[in-house]
Amino acid sequence: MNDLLLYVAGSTIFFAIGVYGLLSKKSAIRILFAIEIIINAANLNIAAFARYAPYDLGGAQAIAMFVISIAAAEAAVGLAIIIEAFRLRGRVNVDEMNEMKG
Amino acid sequence: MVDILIPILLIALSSVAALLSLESKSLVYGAISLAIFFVGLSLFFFYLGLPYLAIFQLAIYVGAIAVLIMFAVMVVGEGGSREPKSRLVIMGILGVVSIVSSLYFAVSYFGSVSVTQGSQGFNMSLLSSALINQYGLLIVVLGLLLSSAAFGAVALARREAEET
Amino acid sequence: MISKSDTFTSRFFKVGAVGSFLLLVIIIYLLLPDILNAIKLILTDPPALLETDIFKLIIFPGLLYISIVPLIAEWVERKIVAKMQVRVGPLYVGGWEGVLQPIADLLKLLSKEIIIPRNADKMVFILSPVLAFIIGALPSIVIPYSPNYVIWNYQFGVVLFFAVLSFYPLAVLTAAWSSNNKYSFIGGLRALYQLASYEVPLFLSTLPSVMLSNSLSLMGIAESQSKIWFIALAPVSAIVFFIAMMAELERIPFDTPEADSELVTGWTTEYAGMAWGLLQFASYVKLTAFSGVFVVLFLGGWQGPSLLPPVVWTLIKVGVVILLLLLARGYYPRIRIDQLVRGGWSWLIPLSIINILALFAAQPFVASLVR
Repeated sequence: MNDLLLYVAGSTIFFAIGVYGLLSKKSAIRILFAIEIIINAANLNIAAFARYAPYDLGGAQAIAMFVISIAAAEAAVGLAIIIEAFRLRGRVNVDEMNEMKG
Repeated sequence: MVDILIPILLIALSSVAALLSLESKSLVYGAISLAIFFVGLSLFFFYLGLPYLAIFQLAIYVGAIAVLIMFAVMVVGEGGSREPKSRLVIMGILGVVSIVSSLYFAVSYFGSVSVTQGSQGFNMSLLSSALINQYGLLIVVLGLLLSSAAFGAVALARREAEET
Repeated sequence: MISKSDTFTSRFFKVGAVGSFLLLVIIIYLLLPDILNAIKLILTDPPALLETDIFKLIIFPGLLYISIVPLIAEWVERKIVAKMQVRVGPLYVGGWEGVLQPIADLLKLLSKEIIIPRNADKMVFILSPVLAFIIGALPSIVIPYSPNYVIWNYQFGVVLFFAVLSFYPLAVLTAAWSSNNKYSFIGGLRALYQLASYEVPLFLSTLPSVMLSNSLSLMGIAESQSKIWFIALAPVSAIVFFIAMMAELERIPFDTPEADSELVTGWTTEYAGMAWGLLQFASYVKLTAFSGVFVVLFLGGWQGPSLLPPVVWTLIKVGVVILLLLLARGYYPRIRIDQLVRGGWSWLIPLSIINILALFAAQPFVASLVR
């Protein structure tokens, strides 16, 4: 077992925790926590490959930096949506937000 | 032996923090343990020999995103029941099982991939030249993305009548 | 009525005291060779003591220095503000003009009870000032006071300094929320608006120094100012950094989180006794850290004519910067929250970007002035 496998295993464990949270939680903020955990798991995977099997001379780290920036933009917009939904309804419960169904 | 102990310790610490952030009764404790998870990831990046990425993660994830999440959690407040329906928990566990079973295939494939130790270590000038030469256009697009996200978030969350 | 916080506090402090003692024992065990070496050097060859690592960690740019400068700064601040307001300031404690007043304040705060509100979240309430202090004190380890006096000469010192300082809004938010008081929560949100608005100008205004010296380590930036200080090459950025520094320190004129006439003490309202003392101490420790980095980034660090040793030059410059910050307190009125936020986003960011663009244009002319 080499070092890369250790980091891939760790990334898979975080991803699994994130997917569990994404599928089984009712509060939109918990789902947002789970999404952030998933993004960080993928980022760890990219960084492990950037270190142990780099395809590019020095630029493989830049991809992880881009992922962090995009996650920041998505967290901002997601939280704005959650705050607005909270103002309209009083609580953020994704089971109840089904007006567009059917 | 110590070489392999530190990543395992970091994995354990970060997964405990991640589970706590999802399962804790209070949303604010969840936000705090999410911040601890981000710090754990940053320690991972330090240990991998990518110091600039680690500090970047600290500054942006913990310094900005965790603060934003905690602000939203405090504004929204603790609402709703915390008991997930058992159907959802079963779905969640099925998802986890399917992902962890992919670990088996990962083991059988990656176990035989030859890893090259990045022979020159971390070099700041290589990173910055790659950022400008190869990913220059991507940085411009990223700037546009971030500014439009900022405008969108402000437009969504602004109250028209009152002010805080 | 006996509040439940008594038993919790005493138990928490007992556990905390035992845990801190154990941590201290572990640290002393790890540092034992250095300590024995230092004691040996005291007895045989005192001047060599100044070169050892343990001296740097504990005495000069380390614990003793960042503990003493807040005390001196507090006394100087009270005297200066008093003179500007045609008063006298501290006068009685310590013989001459109240020099020991800060120590009297420290003893008073130590002897007062830390009142924990009844429905407050006790552990987060107690731990938030500790976190604020750690965030304020930790970045000082990368600041060079001289080529020999730097605790950790990290190659990304600038980025690490500002990354650690960007954790501070987290401590403010947890402190404000755990007080279980809606006025301190509003004060905490105001503090968050102010701190977040002035973080971007703070980061952007360090860019000219990094560009000119081609190095992200604070030591490299200080070394490349041997011909001219960067404040002459990037004056607008220095001013923007100074203003953003005042806002990040929550000092007057950027005093809205603590607006005395509106919010009692803002987000620190519920903190009494040594918890409040720790928050004030953290504020002054951040002041010394920020002044040190301002001196390194713009005022040349330890560069100066060689009639004084470099360390003395650094201390003189740090003293001047702290003096300017303290003078601003007595002179300016408080800025309103909407002026503050508008100023941060729409004035300071374009100013710092203008300076970066001007440096791009003037690059061939100033290249010979560096190093």
